[in-house]
Amino acid sequence: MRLQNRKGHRYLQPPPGMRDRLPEEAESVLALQEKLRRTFTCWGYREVTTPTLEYLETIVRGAGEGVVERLFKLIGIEGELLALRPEMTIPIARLVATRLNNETLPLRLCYFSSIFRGKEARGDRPREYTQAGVELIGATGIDADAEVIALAVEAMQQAGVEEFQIGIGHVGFLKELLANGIEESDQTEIKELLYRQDFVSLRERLEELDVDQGISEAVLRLPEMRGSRALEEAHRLCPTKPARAALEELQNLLEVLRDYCPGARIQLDLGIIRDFTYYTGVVFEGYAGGLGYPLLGGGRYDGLLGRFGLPLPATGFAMDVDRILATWAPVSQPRRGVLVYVHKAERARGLDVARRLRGQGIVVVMEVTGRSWEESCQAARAQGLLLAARIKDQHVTIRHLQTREEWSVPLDAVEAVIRGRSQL
Amino acid sequence: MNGITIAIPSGRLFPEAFSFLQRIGFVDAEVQDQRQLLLPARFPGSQVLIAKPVDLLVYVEHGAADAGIAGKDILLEQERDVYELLDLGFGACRGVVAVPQERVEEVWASGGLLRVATKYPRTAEEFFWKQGRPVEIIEMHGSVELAPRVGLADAIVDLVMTGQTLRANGLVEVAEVFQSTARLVVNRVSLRTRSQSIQALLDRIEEVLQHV
Repeated sequence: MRLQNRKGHRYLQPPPGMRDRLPEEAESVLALQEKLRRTFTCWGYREVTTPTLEYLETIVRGAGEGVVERLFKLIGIEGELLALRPEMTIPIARLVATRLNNETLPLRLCYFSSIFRGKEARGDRPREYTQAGVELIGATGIDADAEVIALAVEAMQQAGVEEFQIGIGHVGFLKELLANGIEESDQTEIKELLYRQDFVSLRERLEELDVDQGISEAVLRLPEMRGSRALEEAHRLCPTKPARAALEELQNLLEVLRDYCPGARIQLDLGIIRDFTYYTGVVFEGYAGGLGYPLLGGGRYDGLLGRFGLPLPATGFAMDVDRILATWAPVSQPRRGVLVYVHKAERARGLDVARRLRGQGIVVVMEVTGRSWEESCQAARAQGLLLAARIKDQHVTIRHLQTREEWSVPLDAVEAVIRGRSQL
Repeated sequence: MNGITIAIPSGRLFPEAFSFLQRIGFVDAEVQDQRQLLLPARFPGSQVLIAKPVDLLVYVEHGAADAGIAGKDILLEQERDVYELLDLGFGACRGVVAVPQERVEEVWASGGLLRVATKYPRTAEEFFWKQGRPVEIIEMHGSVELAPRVGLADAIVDLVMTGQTLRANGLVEVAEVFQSTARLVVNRVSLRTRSQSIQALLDRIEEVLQHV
């Protein structure tokens, strides 16, 4: 056996599905996170962090056995099985059930975190995602659902996503639909087909299983069941009491949402299919025109906290930060900073100027290489700085690096001039 | 059907996929130049994208195309996040295991380790895994039927339509892995953000399919 590594210098590459972020990208992520953090905070959601690693058991307890093949698994120092968190709701459920179990309810929590998940052997998809999200724990009812959806709308607006729309569905309706015409033993398979969005095989299987005509039609019509028309149709196709209850819940929610977020494009969408093992009620997704994948998703998960010993209702959503950033037009912003150039003999004076400018929030870069003044100015310009200041004998020369204009300024007027001349 | 992009595969399915688009009234022109990759459709802002079969679902999954026509063989192999909504009926073929006629006993019936050449490594692996048959999968991109003739593999998993290629290469079918026809796939967001156009497309297709 040859042990040659086909990828050659692997140490130069991040692993499949992982990526670096250069300063501009990292700054965009930060800017977006700041907008979202402000939004979440203003709605009373407090940030938590959880460890990157969890016991494999924790994740499986939250998401079911099926999750295992999508996890990054590790062996801990003591030989225990660990996993990189594949999402944040399970760690937060664990956290709340064990550490915040005496708090006054409801709890409003938010997070900004990397999560890790792989899908099959393909390396063409990301395996690390940056998520921003909220959880509203310990509240049930229409206003709790509406608040979280309204916050999703607000977050999309604050994030500058244009022409977005929200679709709202209900897992309860789906489950009832299936429970009604399909043997329990066949349901897993049908759910799997629904999850894979394979409506051709679904049609075949439903015919083979001899499922009630109305139910079968309803399942197959799911991708088209949107808007207010769909509500009537759903009532007609699945007239059982629990299905009716789910549909009425949706109808009321849509009405209430008109007050929560007037003008937002929110649509009933019974075809939204999210993880069955997890969600228990209203589910929703956010889309923007021209992007092929949802930007956010969430819903009610009343069973999850109970799996960690604290049965509480909960709802929340997660946004995909990178996908939202993909909707941002790239802007190359000048760095708008100042280079401070000073001879060794006057270092203290230069540092004092730098300190004062930085104190005012101005970006200051010290020349540390020992280059000449002209070379320093060239380098600073190439790095996108706006001004250079040279300090010599109580005197400061300030140069605009684009226009090459120069001003001579007394030392104690540096800050005023720099702020005045450059809108720094 | 305004403002949507439909992807169709080049190669085996192309002629039927294209004439299907003509039949539903999405395009009316003939293809002037086979190398053209984007063709205008009859509706404002709509177009046809011609993709390699293996790439087609990528376009639809990412929303670069709103809908597409893809063989079930590719759908099975790639498991992409797209809606598979309609069986279009054409492009029928089967994926089968075939072995050299004179070696059926030796390589197939024996149950030993099988070296399998295929363009469908994942589908093949899953098939044999379910059978409990030990295999070594050799991934190929074309002329799979050549592999057993030159001793590269004991068997192949490949598409058959008439069986002529198998016979010409001295191969016989020993098991069926899947059946395939052309499917209509739709991007999960386009289904919602371009619902009117997509719905018009679906309605038109159903109408045409009923008249076959």
